[in-house]
Amino acid sequence: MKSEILYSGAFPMVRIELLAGESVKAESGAMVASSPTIDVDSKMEGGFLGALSRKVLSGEKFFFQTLRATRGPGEVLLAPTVPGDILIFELDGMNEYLVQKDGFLAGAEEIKIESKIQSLSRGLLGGEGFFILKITGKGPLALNSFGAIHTVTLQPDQEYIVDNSHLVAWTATTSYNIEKAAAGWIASLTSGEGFVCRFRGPGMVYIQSRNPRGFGSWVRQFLPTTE
Amino acid sequence: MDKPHNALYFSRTHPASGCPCHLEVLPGGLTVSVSESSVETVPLERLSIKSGGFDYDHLILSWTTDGDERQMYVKDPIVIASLATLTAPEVSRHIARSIKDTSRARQATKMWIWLTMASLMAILVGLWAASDVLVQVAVHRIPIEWEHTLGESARQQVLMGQRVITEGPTVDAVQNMTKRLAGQLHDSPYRFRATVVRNETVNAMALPGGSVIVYTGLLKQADSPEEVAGVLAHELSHVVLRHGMESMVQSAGLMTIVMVVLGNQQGAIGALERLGIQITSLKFSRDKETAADLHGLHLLDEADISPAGMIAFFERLAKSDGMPTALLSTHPMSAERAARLKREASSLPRVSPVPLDVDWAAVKASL
Ligand SMILES: [Zn+2]
Repeated sequence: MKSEILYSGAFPMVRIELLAGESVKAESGAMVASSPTIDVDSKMEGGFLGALSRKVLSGEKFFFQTLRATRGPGEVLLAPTVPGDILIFELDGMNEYLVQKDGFLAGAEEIKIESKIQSLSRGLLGGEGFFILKITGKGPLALNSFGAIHTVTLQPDQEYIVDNSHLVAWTATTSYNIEKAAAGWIASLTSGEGFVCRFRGPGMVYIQSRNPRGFGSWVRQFLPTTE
Repeated sequence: MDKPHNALYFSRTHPASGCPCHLEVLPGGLTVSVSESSVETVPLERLSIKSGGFDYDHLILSWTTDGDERQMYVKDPIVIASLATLTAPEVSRHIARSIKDTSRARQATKMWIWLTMASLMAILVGLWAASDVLVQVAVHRIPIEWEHTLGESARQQVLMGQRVITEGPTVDAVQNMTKRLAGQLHDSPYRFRATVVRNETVNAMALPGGSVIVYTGLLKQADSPEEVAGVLAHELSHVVLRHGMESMVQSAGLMTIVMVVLGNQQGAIGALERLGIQITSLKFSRDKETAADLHGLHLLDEADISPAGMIAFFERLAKSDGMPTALLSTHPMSAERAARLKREASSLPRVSPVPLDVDWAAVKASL
């Protein structure tokens, strides 16, 4: 499997080349185009109940398509829904990644994806939802963001505070607490109650340069209101 | 051949993502091979051990070498087991504790999930029967805080793109009336607050949690401050009777509300909207409207405000059917409704009303 980012910037796509028999997991709805040799099996990850729990619990039609080069080698083009970066990197088999549910684009077939409930206090306070994806294994993983992806590296015990709605992913070696944002972090009218994540290293945190919720509120003010 | 990786190694001089390494547990200590050339031996007594990782299923071993703090994240069950069998009682105690912590944390999470699921299921089954009573029971178990959360989001939603009037006679008048009515709701957990919006539509609404929004169009339509107070009393009654929450639960299902509030506070209203619920145009059943009318009437009475204004305003709206008002679309007026209010009002003991402390002429002039 070979992958390449096309048109990097605001509107990128990923081209994945598959050898005969190879396959890739992609977020359903991400496929733009493919060679005729590629077949789509919407095999539900983790069996039916797994997919169901993802669908119901993460509040999203979240199951993957497996795109398989069943009839010979070929390529697929994948793109996220929102404008923004795509980041491809190799899972080393040791690091576990927690990914905010809109952040997953695609991954090698060998990687494992589970939906996780954040611990009670974290989920209760967090704005980014109760449910996140835990991605483990070895092989390439593609994340997507709204805006650009910025990588924050944390040394042991180094702390960093991130606005919740700008989070894309983080490694499980970090520990984090969700806190109410101090005044000044977030304009309260557009984003409602603000929350921030206080991360503590070691590990990596991936953040997006735009906030989907903030953008939504901004757009909404131009829509005609119904009286 | 390289030894298989079974741990992640961190230090200030290594990448923040950690270095996959091979860890060997020997009786005297640990041997950490980050690469062929970099092998470190750590005596057991220098290790501190705790549990960590997203699911608390990792052991974090930390130590200091030459003043530099090193950490290792281990999940491999073989390594954890061999650490546990080590004789150093100090270390075993640590491990025993972190293993206990791990399973306790996991069990607590699991238990909580099952409890939640079970109680949600029970409530859902209840809702399936779709009886108003069950909805009411469910709603009354929803914490008031949630109503505040939803109400606040709704308020922001309604006010977005609207011209809010922040001071002047209209604001003074509406706040004054709201305060006088709310003063009668002594032990109510809600925080009543009134906002006036410059908008020609005849409309007023009360949102879950206690926010009241009055459009200037309604003030234009009213002939006396008592008429406005009548509408406010009706709207405040919707809040106190928790009609907004009941309707939301009925149309979205309690599960959705729970998910929205627990998982997605910031986008609560956006999520509800996607489900086709517009919190601001929630239409209440006729029973709820009647209940709010009657509750509102008594509220006026307790605040010593003449109910005649409320009745007169409702009668006028009933006659002006066909006039494009938002209030009418959510509150179908009928002569019958006003008549019922009249009957109820006549059964109230006669007390002389205390006029509202409102400069009505100034309000009218500022519209
Ligand atoms: Zn009403």
